[in-house]
Amino acid sequence: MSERDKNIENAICDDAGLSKSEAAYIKDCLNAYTAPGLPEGSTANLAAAIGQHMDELYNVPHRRVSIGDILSAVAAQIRFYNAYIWIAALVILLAGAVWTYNTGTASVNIMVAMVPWLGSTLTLYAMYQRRGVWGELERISTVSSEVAVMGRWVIAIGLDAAAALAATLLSVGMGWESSFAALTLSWLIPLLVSAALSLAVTLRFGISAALIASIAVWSVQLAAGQRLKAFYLIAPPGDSYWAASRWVGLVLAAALTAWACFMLRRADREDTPSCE
Amino acid sequence: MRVALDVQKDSAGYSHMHITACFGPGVTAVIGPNGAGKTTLLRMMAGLILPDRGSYTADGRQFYRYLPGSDAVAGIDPVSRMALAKQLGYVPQSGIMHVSMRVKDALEYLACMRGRASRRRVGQIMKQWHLEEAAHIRLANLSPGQRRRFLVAQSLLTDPSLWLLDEPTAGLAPEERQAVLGAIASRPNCTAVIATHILEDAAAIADRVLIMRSGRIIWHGQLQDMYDAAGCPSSAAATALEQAYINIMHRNNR
Repeated sequence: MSERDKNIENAICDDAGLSKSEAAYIKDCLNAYTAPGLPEGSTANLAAAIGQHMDELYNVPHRRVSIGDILSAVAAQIRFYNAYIWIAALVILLAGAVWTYNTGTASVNIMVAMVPWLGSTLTLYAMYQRRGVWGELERISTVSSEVAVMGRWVIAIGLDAAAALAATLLSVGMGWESSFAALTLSWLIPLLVSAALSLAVTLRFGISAALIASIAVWSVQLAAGQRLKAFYLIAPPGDSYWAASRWVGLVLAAALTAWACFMLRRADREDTPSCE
Repeated sequence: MRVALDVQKDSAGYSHMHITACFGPGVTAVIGPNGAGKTTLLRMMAGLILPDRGSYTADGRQFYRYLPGSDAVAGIDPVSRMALAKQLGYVPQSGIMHVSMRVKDALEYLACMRGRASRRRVGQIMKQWHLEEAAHIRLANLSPGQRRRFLVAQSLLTDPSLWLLDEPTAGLAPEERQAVLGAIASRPNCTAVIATHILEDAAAIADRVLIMRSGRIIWHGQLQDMYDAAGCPSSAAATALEQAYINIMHRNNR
């Protein structure tokens, strides 16, 4: 045993009165210090300080965290969506409603297509703001990154859902024959896919890629229309593939959400936030 | 707060990062050349990045959870995260903030996120750090000095018992620099860990010094011990620290 090791062990056992296993652990830790020329006394003092430290560690009361803290952190996500975002959402809804009113039942998919756009926009907005220094600040939180991002994502979907519901009420009020539930699903499923796509692509490839993917997917949807069969996610009620496309949309949204969760968990291991 | 860290990471820009250190109340200055791992150490202590293996205890509570049957770190223990978030203050290196929130809203938001939602506390902090005039300015539009003051102010929302500061005085005007150093020195019961290149600041406020190079600690001890070890008189502290730092780095090069 080297002189240094002896000094460490003596300091730990004599000064701090720790057990052999604790002393051995501390010695291992101290062996990670490599400072040629370090005075022996200095290392021994450090060992004694760590010994005292370990003794105190187990006598410190832990501060408790309440469910309220978690709810408060999740609810705080709503602050991210400033007045401009709410106004933009309202404008999109009104524009869609006016368009639908002017064109009638056949153009219901135009209105439906606006909701996925809104879903993508809100998700991308939220993720864009999570980058850089700010991203680091908000990751020091009582909730994990996953919970914070998902909370914000749920707010985006919630807003979309409210828009979808309002649009459905308007549509039913105009006397369309389609059922209330069918119309609501027509809006909700595409927006779920849209928001999940934006989130997953942002986390994996960055915001620019998500923007391109979002525009591409919904442009193809509008352009190809019923030729996509069950993959025509904004099919209006009455379309022969309407029911199948709802299921395809749900499965896609679930898969993309699972992927996003996986990416978020992995992001903790990276040196830089994954959405940059 | 007392924290003990024994972590290893293979892919942090170094061939292998291995850090074993304990921190208690008082100020520890982390110094070292660029790329030594100072920021990585602070980010690891803040829970922003995870090591591949190792342990991190804060007030005796293990911070990590592990893959079953392995010592590989799988993530952060949620209960420990909550406990730490309420006691942690972190000042990152300054950078662009894309967020469109205004200063006051941002502080209120961060207070909520850390379980300290109190408008009174936010008001106090804004007053203390002269951010009242900037209350309605968007973060993206803050001047560099205001941004740094905001970063320090937000770290104090929790009244932290573990305070991690990454280059807190870089780019500050002299009076602002003195204010930051004064705030650090005025919290003797807080465990403050400061990564800095400014040895004058380290000599002025640090009780202990930790020198890093290539992802490893090559010195960790009392400031006075460092002067003694390097054979430097401590009469002119800033110069002595600089000389002691150079001597220890030089010895370690051999």
